[in-house]
Amino acid sequence: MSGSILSASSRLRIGSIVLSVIVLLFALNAGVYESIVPRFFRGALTAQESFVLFELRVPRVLIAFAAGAILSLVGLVYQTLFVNPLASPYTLGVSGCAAVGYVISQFFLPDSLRSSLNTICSIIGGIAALCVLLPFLRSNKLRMTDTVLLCGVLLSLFCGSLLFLLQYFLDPAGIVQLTGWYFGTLSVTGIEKPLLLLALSLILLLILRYSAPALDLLLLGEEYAHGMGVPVRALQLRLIGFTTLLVALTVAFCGPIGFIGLIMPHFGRAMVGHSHARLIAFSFYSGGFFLVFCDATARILGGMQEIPVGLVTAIIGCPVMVTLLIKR
Amino acid sequence: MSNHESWASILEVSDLEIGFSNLQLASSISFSLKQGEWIGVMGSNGVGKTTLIKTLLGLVSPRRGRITFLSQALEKAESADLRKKFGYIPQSLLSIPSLTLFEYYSSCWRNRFSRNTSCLSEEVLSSLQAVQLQEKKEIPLSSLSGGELRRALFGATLLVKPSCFIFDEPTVALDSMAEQEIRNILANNQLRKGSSGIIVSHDEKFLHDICERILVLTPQGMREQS
Repeated sequence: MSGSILSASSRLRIGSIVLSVIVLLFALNAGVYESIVPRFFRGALTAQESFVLFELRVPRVLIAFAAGAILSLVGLVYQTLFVNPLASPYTLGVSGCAAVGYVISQFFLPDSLRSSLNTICSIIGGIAALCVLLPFLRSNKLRMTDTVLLCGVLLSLFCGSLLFLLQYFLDPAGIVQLTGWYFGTLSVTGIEKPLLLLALSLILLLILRYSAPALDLLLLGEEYAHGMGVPVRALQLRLIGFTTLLVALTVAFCGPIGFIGLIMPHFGRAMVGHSHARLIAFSFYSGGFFLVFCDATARILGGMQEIPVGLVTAIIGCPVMVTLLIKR
Repeated sequence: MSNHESWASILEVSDLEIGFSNLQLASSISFSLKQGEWIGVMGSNGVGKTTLIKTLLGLVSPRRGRITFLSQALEKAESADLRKKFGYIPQSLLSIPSLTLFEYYSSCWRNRFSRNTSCLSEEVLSSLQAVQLQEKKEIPLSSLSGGELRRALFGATLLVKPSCFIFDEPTVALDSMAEQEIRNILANNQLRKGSSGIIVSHDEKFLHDICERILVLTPQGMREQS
């Protein structure tokens, strides 16, 4: 007997809650205006500090959490449905296609159309990626898991090249803006976009929680799940359709942030096991808080300059993940 | 052997033609499965035994003919609820995940009886006990031996209380001891609980031990083994 009063899952839950609160306070406090959180608790905020906290940092933390949670959950869904541990919105080219759609709208359409069409063009890009990937969900093609991944990587490379090609048609200011956006930016004003993304991430969480047993059975193969009464085709179409829409929206609001969708599901498996019932909840929270933490770190490291959050997610996350994989 | 002549038929297959879009494997397949009856299906390699099972499950569209299960036509895509009444074990799995046995059984239960989780633990443990795997409930599927994995799959089908079991080569690649364990479980009438089953196998003795009837699939149709 271990003699411990709390079970491993209770310890993990309490540890996660404590860590989440610390990350949240750290993220709200990080940036040029230091000690803003302690001053808030002392009731000593100036009007300017109050503006920074409530109009800039709170929306930023919310959109970072929602984007991280969405990318992490979508990575998990793709890895299960495409039966491939390397599947993610980034490696399957969905983020890349959505990014091309966004960039064409943002940098090449007239100003009057831009704001209304950015998101729509990003979604059209996501749908284009779906048109390439969906044939692999037709019967028997799922067995060609390497082919799915190869196709996704090719799509991703194609979109990356297209984005670099588009840079040649931009002025220097446009190139700087595009480069920053391409590695992810969580700079946001107003609460609408963060709340929209947060609401959608919660809807995705609920849908996936409901589908968790079916996703578990899909781990044994499409045929087996079908034979056990899982409506495989309908589930695949519903989940791939909705998650692709969410990836396109996330790309339009925050840029194509890589890494999270690929790695957080693996981190989750190392922490809570392979059952989707636990993995979905864990991926949601860990993906969300990881991006909040990385964004806060980027703000501290950058000082007055904005370091793209996508760089920080990879620089912090890769060594942690490699260590976990070696230990496993 | 029981006489099932007068029992109600739960699965009716009439004039079925199986194969793929450009390849016909077998035609004029007609047979029925009665309540409580187990039938074995034999046939030479490539005649379409596994394709027949996949056609029954809706994984492959029939080229012609009709399948009626529990008095309802079994259409390909829209019959997920009806298909939940099958308990299927394929010849091989696409992958063996690291879900623990308990997690796997819980998901099978939730997928079948989504709202009723009050007796989940009790039912899961009872099924694990039936296949003598209760000691391994926290072991990942990927760590089980071949025989244990087959027993685990059978236990999962018991858990979902199917009207009709469908097993494709349940003893393939098992050693004699593991095969005997599967034979003992399948021959246990208490576990079968009056359900019906179709077993595809090359092992005639195994089928004779378990099934009331043996059918032989040929390209020209299904015939009863004399």
